Amino acid sequence: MAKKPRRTAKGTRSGLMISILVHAAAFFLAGVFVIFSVVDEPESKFVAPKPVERPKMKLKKPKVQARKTTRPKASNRIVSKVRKSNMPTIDLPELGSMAESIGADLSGVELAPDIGSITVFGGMKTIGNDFEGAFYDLKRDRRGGVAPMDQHQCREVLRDFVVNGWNRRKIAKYYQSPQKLYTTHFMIPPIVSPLAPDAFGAPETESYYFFLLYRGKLVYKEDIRFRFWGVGDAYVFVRVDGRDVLINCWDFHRPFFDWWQTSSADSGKFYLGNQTMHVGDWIELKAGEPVEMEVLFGEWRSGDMSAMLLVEVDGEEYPQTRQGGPLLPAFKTEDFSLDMLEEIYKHLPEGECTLTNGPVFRDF
Amino acid sequence: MGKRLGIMVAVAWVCGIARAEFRDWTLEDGRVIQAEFVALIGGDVSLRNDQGRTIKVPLDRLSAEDAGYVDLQQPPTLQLDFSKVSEQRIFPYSLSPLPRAFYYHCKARIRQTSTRPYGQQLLAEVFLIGEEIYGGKQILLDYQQGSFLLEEGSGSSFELQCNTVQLMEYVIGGYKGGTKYGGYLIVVTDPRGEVVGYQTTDENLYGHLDSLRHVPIGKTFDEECNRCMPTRPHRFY
Repeated sequence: MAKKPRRTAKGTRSGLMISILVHAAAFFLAGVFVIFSVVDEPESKFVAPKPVERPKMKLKKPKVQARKTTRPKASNRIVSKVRKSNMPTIDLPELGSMAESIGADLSGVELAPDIGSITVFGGMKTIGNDFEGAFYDLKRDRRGGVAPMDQHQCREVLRDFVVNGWNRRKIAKYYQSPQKLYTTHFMIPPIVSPLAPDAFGAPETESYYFFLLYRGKLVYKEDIRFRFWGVGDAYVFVRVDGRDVLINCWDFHRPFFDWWQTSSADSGKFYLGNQTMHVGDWIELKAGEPVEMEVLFGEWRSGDMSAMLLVEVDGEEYPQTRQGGPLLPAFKTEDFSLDMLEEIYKHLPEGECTLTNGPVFRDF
Repeated sequence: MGKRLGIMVAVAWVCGIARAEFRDWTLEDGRVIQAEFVALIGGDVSLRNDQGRTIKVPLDRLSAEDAGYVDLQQPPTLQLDFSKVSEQRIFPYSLSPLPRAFYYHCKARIRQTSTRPYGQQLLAEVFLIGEEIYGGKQILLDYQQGSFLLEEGSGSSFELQCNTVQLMEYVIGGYKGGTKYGGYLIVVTDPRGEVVGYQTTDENLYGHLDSLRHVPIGKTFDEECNRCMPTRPHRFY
């Protein structure tokens, strides 16, 4: 007996197939829809929200009290020396760049080699015909301890020393630097006062109530009659052969240093650096006969200082400066070296004196 | 970055002017050939003879003299640095206003950036420059020199310390005077005196190097680096 074919079973299979196809188509369409949805989505733009108004807070600045230090720390550095080059020296620069405004004469400039480290206060080695200088601090005793000192006392000490014949016992109780300097001139143009203790190896010194004392021989190869013209900030005293021959200082010191008066009407008329010059007494030297000479200058209240001595030889004619005074040469016992000229020129205006001519006070 | 580029340019320029020359080259086997140096690449020296033919010879097959010549033709690339530290000077108490002063501690450092060790002795020079506050002229504050070798190749270095200098500002007679820091020049030269590298804050200093070498320390010089007188102050009256 043959079996009858089962139609229902056949129809069920094709329905399943249709269902699968329908679902597959639906999944495909759903995928396409999702992809197109992402691609077609419009780019979102950021729109900044409106600023919110906030009331400003009023803050008080904190106040901090600054504490001032009472005393600066001392420094032990030795500075401001003229450095000697380890490189070859060169010939003189062009005359035009170094000539002085009037009466320039550069002859002999290179004759004197510099020895060791030098400053406008002098070098550390003597060349024989020079002045030995010492640094005194009136605020310290001879051991370096504190010595009471004020403006009046300072002038009293100076007066007492000079009036009593430059008696070193009068200043022996004050500090004297171990370093000595040797100079062949007194051309210390206006400079800041700390450079003086620096030069003498005492940079720790408070730069007021100090002085420098130089001593040496004054001699000339021929008979000569001359006088010094000089300035001193705060003061300068010059003594030759036991006689005070020149004093200059700021006006307010004059009542204290009144034992010497100039005899020249030209005193106080013409500037040299930051002060007007005083004219000293005439000095007569015999050929080759040396006499003692001492120079004292220093600082009173700190700030600037200077000390310069020029020479007027009796009977000599000098060109005039723009101030109307004589254009005098600097006092010197040796020709200025180029290094020293530069150190002086740095601080000295042109046309007030000459450094490269005039007599050289030595016995040859 | 700019400074380094400047050094590279300077070195490249220096190398450019160091022209090769025809000379005798002695090979390991005793043969002597006349040729000019072209390049040193990967340990091989390229030489070109007078007929334009180039041959390559391993560096270690050349005589010591020839190897030294190659060294001089291929100077190292250097990085030159300058550092300065300033320190204010504290003056002791004063009754009046005091000047302002600073100590400057300066140092030059030379470092090799190329890899190949360099067997020749080099000379480094450092010029420390100041400037007048009042007149604007320059001052040679310090000069130092020292010889050194760069035998370890990349990273080899050499330092040259300057003396500490003090620069001061002050007012006297109504004018402001003193000295301020004005720059530097570092120069490195090979045994022939050829400049291998330099670094400066002022090209004019390098341009007048020979003159600058004759300026004594502490002295003023003009725009052509010739010693000159310092600027003098004006009268205040």
